Amino acid sequence: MNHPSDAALALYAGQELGMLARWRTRRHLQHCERCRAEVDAYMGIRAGLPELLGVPEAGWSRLAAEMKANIRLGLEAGECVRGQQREEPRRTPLFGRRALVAYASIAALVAASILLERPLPRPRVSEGVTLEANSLGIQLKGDGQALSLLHGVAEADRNAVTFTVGAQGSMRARYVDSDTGYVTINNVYAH
Amino acid sequence: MRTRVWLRAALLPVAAWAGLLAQERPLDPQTSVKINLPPDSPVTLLAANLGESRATARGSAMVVDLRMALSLRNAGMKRIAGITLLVTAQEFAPGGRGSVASPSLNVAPGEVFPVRIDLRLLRPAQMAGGPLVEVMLDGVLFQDLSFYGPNRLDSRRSLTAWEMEAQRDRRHFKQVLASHGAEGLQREMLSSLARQAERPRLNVAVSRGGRAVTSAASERVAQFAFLEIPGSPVVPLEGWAHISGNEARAPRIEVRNRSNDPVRYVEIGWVVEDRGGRRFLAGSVPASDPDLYLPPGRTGRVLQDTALRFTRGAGQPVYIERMAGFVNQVEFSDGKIWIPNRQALTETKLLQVLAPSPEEQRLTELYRKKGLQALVAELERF
Repeated sequence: MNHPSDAALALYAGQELGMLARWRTRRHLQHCERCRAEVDAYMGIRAGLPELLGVPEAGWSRLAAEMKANIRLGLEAGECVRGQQREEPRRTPLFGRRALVAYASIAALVAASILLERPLPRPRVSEGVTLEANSLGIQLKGDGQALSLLHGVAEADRNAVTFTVGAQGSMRARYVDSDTGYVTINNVYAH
Repeated sequence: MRTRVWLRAALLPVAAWAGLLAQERPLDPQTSVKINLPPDSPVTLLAANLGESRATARGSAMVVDLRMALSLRNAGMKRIAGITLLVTAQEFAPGGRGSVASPSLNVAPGEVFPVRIDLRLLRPAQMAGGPLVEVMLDGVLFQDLSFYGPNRLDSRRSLTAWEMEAQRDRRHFKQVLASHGAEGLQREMLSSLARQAERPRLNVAVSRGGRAVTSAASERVAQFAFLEIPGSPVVPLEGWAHISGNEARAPRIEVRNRSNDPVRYVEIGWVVEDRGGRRFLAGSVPASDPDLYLPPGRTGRVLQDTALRFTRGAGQPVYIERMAGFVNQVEFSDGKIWIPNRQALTETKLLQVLAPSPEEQRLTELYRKKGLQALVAELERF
């Protein structure tokens, strides 16, 4: 089986794949558990930083009530759909030559308009995600949460760390390793 | 009531699973980290110590804390001046990759040298198969400024610029030693250490793709004032950025190539001044176009869609009053790099604003920890 590339799965998770590629990937995901898990994982990590700071406390009673309500809603919705399907009268399809020409024209028109109007998928920059250099090191911030990306410098040597910012969305922390005397430059990227 | 009890019982395994996910576990050296060095690499891996490296699952993500020490051997025929390693947990979300560079090396053929990797990376917890982290060689710079490596991170340019700064600063300190003796060198070291201590330390936040926090109502467009760097092959013509309180965004700078050689990369140093008249380096604005090609006499634009926010202490905003820019680095189409010389940095008073070069930082640290004799001996090695 040919699996989509990691990049395609990541773009699919971010809803940034083109129409055709999205359709192909969706079809693949219907019967590939591995790729589905990868997409779920990408969706999870994109969902935001709050999750990274720990599993939130679950309100079990509220969760149980939500689940019961959703299950009941799903069952009722299923019943409604089945009822409608039973009640709908059979329609005679239109297969005349004129109708076929009309259908083909409409299909061509729709396809052309989609091709012309569809905006090109743009890679999503990490909007809302910020890299910050402060006394704690370099942190990845978003939604009011923070995750330290750099460590390794002893508290006493913190002042000897030089941070430099690249306006393209990167940060460097530079320090002299106290054991080896070598300069180490760590780079982290916002995207 | 009974239903509720049953539901709670059913949800207990979920809670236990979540608890397990939040647990830390040490990395397995055999399976967690893959170190990829090409077969013809000029460095070979002697040992990799994962030390206290840990992986912690948190929700749907995994935080990989790397505290590795690598021992590498120079397996080539030339002295190594610098190396960059790319460290990747995943490529598609923020926090998934980083890099570690060691400039200012002087490693002879056959010699062994250490590289420390202290990074924290993120990856999806359910990512299928393979190692948690991959370490790849991005480039090795030799002392004759030749380069080996895939150069995915533009390591060639960074390492070459650092090496040129190192040569420039060593030359300067050697001249001081020759003309003013050990005492003169000592004064120079103390002066550098004082500059490093006095350099304003601000918290800088960078975010891509527009405004970080402030509203458009208070925003103004501010012009850059440019510092003339003698001998610079590229001259800035005009530039501006949007300023709002303590935030500056979307810098755009027009530059002209006044040299006789085509230019393929320009980096502008971005200095901001607060209301108290203190100047500090905001960051560097590299040309965003990877295919930049600036023939002699032609103009081009250096721009970035980014926002920088400045605070100090516990988050007090630092309001921006003025901005200045200067040409910090130029790469010609033949790969040669230009950087400002020491005299230009002194004359423009940029030496007070800029961070010391990695080599100056290393030498001052050597002086601070081991004294003047060790520094003199180190300078004589080059």
